[in-house]
Amino acid sequence: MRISANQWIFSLAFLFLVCLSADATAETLAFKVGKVVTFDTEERVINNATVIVENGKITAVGKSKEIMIPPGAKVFEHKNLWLVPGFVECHNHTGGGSPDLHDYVYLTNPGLRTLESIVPDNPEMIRARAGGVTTVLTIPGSGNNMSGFGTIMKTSEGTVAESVIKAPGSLKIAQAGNPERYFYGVGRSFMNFNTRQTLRKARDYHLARTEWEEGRLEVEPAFNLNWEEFRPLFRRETVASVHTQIYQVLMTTVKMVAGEFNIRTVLDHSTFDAWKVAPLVNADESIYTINGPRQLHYDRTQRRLMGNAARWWQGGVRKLGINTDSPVVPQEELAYQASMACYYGWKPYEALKGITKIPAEALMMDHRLGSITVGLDADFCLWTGDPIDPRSSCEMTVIDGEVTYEASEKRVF
Amino acid sequence: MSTLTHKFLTLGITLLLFFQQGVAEAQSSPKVALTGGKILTVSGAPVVDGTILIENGIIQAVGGADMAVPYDAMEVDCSGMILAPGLVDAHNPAGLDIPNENLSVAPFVDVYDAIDPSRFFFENSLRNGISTVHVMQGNNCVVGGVSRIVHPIGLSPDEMTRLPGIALKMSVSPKGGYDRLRQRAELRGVFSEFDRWHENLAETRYEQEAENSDDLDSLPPAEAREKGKSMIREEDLDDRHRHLAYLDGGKLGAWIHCGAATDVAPAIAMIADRGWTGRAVLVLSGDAHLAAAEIAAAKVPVVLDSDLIHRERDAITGEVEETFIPEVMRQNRIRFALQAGRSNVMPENLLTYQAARLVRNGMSQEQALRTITLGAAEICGVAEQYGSIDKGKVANIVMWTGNPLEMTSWVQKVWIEGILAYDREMDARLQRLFPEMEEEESSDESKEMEETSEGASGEEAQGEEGSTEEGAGAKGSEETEEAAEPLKKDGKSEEKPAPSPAPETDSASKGGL
Repeated sequence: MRISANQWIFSLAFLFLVCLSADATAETLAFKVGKVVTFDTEERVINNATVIVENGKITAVGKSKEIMIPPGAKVFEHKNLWLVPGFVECHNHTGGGSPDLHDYVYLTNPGLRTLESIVPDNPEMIRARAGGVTTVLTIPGSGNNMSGFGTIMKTSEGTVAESVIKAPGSLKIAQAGNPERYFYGVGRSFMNFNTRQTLRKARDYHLARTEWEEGRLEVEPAFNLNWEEFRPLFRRETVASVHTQIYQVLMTTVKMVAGEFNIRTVLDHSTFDAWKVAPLVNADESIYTINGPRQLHYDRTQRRLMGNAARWWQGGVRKLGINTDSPVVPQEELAYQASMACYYGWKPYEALKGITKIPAEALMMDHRLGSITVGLDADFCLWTGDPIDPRSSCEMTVIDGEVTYEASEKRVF
Repeated sequence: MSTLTHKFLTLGITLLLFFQQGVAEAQSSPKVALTGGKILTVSGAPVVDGTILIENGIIQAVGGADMAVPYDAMEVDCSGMILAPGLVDAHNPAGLDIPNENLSVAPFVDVYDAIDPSRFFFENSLRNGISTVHVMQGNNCVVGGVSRIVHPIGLSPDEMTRLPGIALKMSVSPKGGYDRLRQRAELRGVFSEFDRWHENLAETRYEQEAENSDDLDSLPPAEAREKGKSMIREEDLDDRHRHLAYLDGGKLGAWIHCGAATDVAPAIAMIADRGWTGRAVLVLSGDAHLAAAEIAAAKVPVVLDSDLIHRERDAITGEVEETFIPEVMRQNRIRFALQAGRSNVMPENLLTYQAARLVRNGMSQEQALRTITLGAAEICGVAEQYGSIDKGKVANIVMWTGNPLEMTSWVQKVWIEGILAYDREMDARLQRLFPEMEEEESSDESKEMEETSEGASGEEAQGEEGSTEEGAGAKGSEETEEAAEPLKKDGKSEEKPAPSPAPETDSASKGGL
């Protein structure tokens, strides 16, 4: 297609605007608020606090009377609002065009990535940030045992390059509970066999390449694009997001993915009676349990309703978070999912941590996301109260030090 | 030691989770002494007022009341109770998500990947005195996966497994949607492809070895193949052929499903051709028992379907003729094992009920108990570890309130590897279903009185066992006249309200668990 002069001018104007917005992040912002829930290393909750943002990063957090507002800073004064870290979603499918969710080619499909289908600033993302969600991990669906690599992205405006912060962000594995529908139906003995074989091939490739790189192998093992992306996984630099639920399936995840292959594992869903696996989960400190979208389980044998998150907590699991599996539950309702978890017996403060700090840690992004700590990305929201309380609303969303949503301008929720 | 402690911990937690009841002080001592009970050793004569000493999950000694209990052993008083070996379920796919994969040929899979420890089946097995389950894939296959022996308690298959890699499942009878021609053609294809692969591998291996060695000369292919077979290493086997190589090499048993009498001859021929004799078992269903003479001649043991009766309708008169299959096996001197049914409502899921039916049909009590313990262990090839209360065996022991074959007896406690894995007093589910259990306790006690008097005659019978089976059988059937009577009613009409109150409700409700 030929590019017309008009389009050139339009593109230049767009670039100019981008530069302007880049300038905007360079400015200094000061937020004087009623309360800051930091989730920093000391787990401080600071009343009448000020947060300073420079160049898109948090540069100071503390009591308003102790923090000096730098001259020329743009001051946002909201004495009645809470400042809470932007929510991090571990299990999202709406960061891209939904027709590209999934390719049912084989039972395991290494080499696919959601990065190719990212559409930043799509309507779902606009709603997400109005609901306080600032980062999502967009992963492929669970129709087969291994459906490709996910992408960690901000819900901010901008290009793919600007919004994506880590790709590959995780490997999506679905051990059972959907892939059974593949072809004529497969059982767990074959699915687990197949997943194990794929991971073995990937690990053998990684080990061979490592040997060669370190000079212990003379002949270079053939380069393979499919297996290359698994290497950060085996170096434990990225995680596996495992669609896993039901006792036997979650148990296999812990035993196989986290155990046999020593991969950092995030247990997505972890619903039904999966909480009974808690003792095995506790044995591996690097496993994160991100529960949802189903917040309750009806136990037929005991004829009782059980809150999933509450049961995990009761089982001693502390690395516990919440997800929406958007679009299963709309992305903006992440906080509401946490509310539901509390309705069924979990604790509000822990639930708020379970949608901020915990998922950031789970995705190994806590050096950038999930808490109000000096040096981290300035991703946070101003709420009228505790976000776990469904009566509270998000009034303002800041991503990378940029105000991306203001209810006073145009309220979404 | 540390793994054992770990097991204690996890077992405790499992109990907590599944029974929703705290086990305040689980028996955490590696040494346990069960004293005062009547021990049905199965392998030998019963011991009245006997002592079983368990150390690190293994039975260390079995003796009478005079046997000294080491000072550091935790003693459990079993007086008034009967101690029997944990029952062995010889063949069951119920612990899996689905019995068979939708692949006709899947020798590479292992039931390990599909065992669900949270299945009610396992909890119920324990409640019914089954301590050892041979989890195997179902009959709907050409070549199924590899089976394993598990204990019905644990958080994961790793914790449950004592012996992995028991046998490979095959079927000569057509799987769903197949006819016999296609079934046999595929089965033939599997092994002909394997043989070709194996021979080529052997030849390659010989050539590799000959190249690196001065002692070995280059040989013509036929000889190289022969000599190279012993040179095949573990790492040379690929996933598709590994388990088939184990099967031919003697590491796995061959369990072949025969769904009809016509399938028995091809199965036996296959066993002889492939050299599986001695580790082959036929899994019978349908009218396969009609080929009993052939099975007997081939000396192959069998596993029977949980429905022990075969019904045949006369095409002209419409009369239904019932055959009690175990009796056919017994008359033909075929070794057989039983499997618990998969239904939660039919009494066939109780191995003890099935064994009681053997007694009703003329088998001795001792033989019937042996069938569901040591006999099954022998057929699974694990008799060195399971099936009787003997020194050196895995300490899977069930404490019964009375004769295990009587329907009024309850499983009171189950030890798995010497660890208390089930306690009826802590069985919250059972207590909720039968809140009036105190009354039953008293009726149990009256049964025990009978039991002790019965014990003496049982001992006499035991002495004759083996040499004159007929005599023991007659005695056994005499003894269980009372037990068998309510059973008959129970077996024929489970739903009808019981005429005589106490024992009937007991047996009926137990079947309904």
